[in-house]
Amino acid sequence: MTRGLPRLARWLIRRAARPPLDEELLGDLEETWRGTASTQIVGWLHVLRLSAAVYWHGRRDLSEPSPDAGGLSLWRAALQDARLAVRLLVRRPRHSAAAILTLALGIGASTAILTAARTVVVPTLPYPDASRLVHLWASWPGGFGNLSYPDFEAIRQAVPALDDVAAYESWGSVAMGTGDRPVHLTPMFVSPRYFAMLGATAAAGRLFDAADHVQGAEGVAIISPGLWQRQFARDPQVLGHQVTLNGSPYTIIGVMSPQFADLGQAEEPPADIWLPTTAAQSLLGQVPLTEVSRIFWGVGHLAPGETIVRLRQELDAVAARLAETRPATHRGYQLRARPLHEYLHGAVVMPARLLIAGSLLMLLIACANVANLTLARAAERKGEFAVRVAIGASGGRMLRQALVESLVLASLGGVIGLLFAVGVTGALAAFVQTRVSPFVSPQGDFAAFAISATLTLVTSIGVGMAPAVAAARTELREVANLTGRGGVGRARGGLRAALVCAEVGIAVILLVATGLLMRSVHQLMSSGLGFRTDHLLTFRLDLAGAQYESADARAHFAETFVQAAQAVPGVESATIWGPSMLGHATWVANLLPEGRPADRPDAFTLAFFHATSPGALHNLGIPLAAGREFTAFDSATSTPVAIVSQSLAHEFWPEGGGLTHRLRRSDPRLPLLTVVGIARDAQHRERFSLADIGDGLAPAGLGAQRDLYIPYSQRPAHSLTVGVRAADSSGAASRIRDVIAGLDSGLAVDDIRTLDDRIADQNRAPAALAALMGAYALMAVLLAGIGLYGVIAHTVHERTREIGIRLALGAQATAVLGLVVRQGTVLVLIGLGAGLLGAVALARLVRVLLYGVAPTDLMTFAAAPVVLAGIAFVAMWAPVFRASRINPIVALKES
Amino acid sequence: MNGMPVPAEFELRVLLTVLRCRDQAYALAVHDDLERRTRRRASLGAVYVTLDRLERKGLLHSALGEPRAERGGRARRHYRLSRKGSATVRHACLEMQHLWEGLEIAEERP
Repeated sequence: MTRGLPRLARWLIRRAARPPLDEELLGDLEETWRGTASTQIVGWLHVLRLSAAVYWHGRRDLSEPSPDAGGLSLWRAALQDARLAVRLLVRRPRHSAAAILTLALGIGASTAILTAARTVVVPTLPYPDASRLVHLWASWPGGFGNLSYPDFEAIRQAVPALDDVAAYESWGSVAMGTGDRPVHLTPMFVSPRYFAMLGATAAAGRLFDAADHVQGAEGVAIISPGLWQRQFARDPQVLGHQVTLNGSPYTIIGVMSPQFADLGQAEEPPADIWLPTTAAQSLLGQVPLTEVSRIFWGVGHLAPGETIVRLRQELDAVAARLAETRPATHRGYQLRARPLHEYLHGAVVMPARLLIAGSLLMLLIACANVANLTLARAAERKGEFAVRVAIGASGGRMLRQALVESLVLASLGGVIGLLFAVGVTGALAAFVQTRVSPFVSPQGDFAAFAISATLTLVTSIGVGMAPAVAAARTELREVANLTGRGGVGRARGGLRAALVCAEVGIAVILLVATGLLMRSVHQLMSSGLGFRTDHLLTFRLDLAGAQYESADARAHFAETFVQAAQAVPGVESATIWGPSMLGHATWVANLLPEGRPADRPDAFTLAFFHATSPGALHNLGIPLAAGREFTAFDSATSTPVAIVSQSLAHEFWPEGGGLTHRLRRSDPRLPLLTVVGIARDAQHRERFSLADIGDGLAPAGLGAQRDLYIPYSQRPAHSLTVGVRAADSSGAASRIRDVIAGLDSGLAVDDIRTLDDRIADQNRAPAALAALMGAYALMAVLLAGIGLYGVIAHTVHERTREIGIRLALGAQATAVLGLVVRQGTVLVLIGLGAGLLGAVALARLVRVLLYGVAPTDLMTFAAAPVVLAGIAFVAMWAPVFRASRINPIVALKES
Repeated sequence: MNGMPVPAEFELRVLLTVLRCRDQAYALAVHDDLERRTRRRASLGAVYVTLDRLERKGLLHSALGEPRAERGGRARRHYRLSRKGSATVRHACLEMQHLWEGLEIAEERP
């Protein structure tokens, strides 16, 4: 027979052996096949046996690492390791759950950190070329604030560092006449280029063009998507529709895109309607644009190659020229610029910093916990590793096994962490956007997740590999000891104890910070403002239109309104306040006692001012410390008078007195004010404003209350606020509307709310911040508890034999328990001590966020350790209980 | 010690047999010679895999001979010890001698 090897046999051999071995085998088989061809069965048996043997030996060969082992075999080995790792995880469900939970929390927390950090550090404003946009403002002796339109024109013409600049103004309100009662709208007045620079687009119709900004042009307006929905039911026919604003006709030419983040929102409610700056004069009764009235902000775009430093130099030059040409209004005046994101994000910085600190601490705890759990597990398995090394496992094999085990654990933690991160980032975004700033939208990006996941995983894998490395170096003679007692290195035990101490310490820090914030929120909610806020209906009136052109007309309206409102049944009192809303003072005056030098820019003192009707302080329940209230005799023609708050009086006249002294204001055109009364301090500012905190002002509770009250009749602003106290608030609201309609049917009254309601709104931001910190603290305490549980449980497990012997020799169960409890207690006490020290340091950082609570608040500092000690007790209870139930005989048999 | 690789027992046997077979050291011959001298059955598959592994460890070199018709046009692979292989064998044998030195074992009778 000369037939060659059958094709099937060749196929079998090629499957069984790798090249070049297959060629050699095939050659040899061809030779032997010829020899045995007469008995084909023998030949086939030989082929089968040989291919099976080569395949089997080859497999075994591959399971040992070789210098050129193929990728496929490594995968097979890794799969095998992964299966083993999963089996090990399932066998220790509590340990696995703790490790996975810890990893998940760690990854979620650090993703939140990175997201928050990006929000603050990287300017992510929703505008084209946002990093080159600047905000323009002004400062003068005694204060800072808006620009006047002439300033803006000067900047536009004489600052080459800016290739684009626009002015805008957002305050007050306009009444839009539709149907029987007008509605109040928040207007936004913008100069040409404002929309173009910020990349605004219209959802329908068009935006302003140059012709719309010409003085005397037909009135045009752009409405917000919200107004389009509310008032026009998204009717596309609204374009070209004519509406009356404060009595004048305006044509709606466009609807703003809902994506546009209008700059006015930084300080005022979101705009309902956009109008050209030229409309401000007729609508709000303002001075012509050519005169100085500081009501505009500026926004500019840096020309290519220009820097903000260069811009500031040019602005200084412009300010110097203005001081020369208009000395009456511009002496000591400075034009200022800052990056737009700095202006808009100022409010976000502080809460973001706090959240970053919270997340960072959380991450530290998570890493410590992962390390701890892994070390504990490693200590238990040291014996196992040592035996495996002793019976021939190579170091590389052990390392790979440890790596795969860590990876399996880490990927499970990673998946849950990703879900957690999505949740945290969602909550953070919602918080920041609704409570802090509409200009930021923190979005958890994949990079943030990838970075934090990598950090946490590196910790877990790094620590996870340590025992395998140690085992690879284990000497054979140690094995007997290790397997006999399941012992653990003292050094490693010490490291784990230190980690638990650190966790407890960090948890205390977070608990204290949270406690302080919560106490602060409680103070905000429970402490009074220094006046009666109950049953007080508040709303705003805007006296716009020709009939309110004269100051007398406005003063007369106010007087008539108060009389009419007080005549309404059920109304206790009616008070003209303003121009700021009650509980939200924003209007300020710069004051200096007469006769003192005004040579320095900071010579003037900033005080919040309120223009009130006679008897206002009595109506609000603010007691007078000295002097008298305003009366009907304090009129436009009588001596200008003022009442100052006690703090302000003390600042100006520390030796006492103050009555009959006179005050001057920074604007020399305004008359001197004679102090006729001193009122007790009351809080008219929003007590916890993130914007104020961003500007470096502490919440109002810690600062002096500087307030100036003047009679409304002597400063009758177009915009005034009203407080009406009535036992039945809701019933009174409609009757008050009727009163106003009776006086002037063209006046819009909306947003009538009780003051308590407004204050509750203000308290929402600090409450949300405290809640977020509370979430971090809760997680921290939880993780510290898990860590403590892990260490104590491990100790008990490790000392089972010892405890068994002690019990067998007659030791009392309580004495044995004492051993375990003492160990845990020492760890907790050390952690508490270190944590309290850290908390003192952190509290100094949190100080600016606290209202009415000292950063070293004794109650908080006492409560935090108690809470943590309680958690520690719970964490220790289970393992200690298990120790007490150890049966000496079983314990000794087991070991 | 001196970092010399320590061959497993079967590897040492194969190395010694390759040394003995000189220029006729191809897999089938090595297998036959190994079985004859040890008077034990050896798996042919194990011999192939071991030769392959020893070559990968650098203890053996191999070269292809002339292609032959009876092998389906394939060449035989001939093995010989590398310098490292020779040193390893020498070292392993010396180690055995050292271990035996001074030991007396009662002669077994058949």
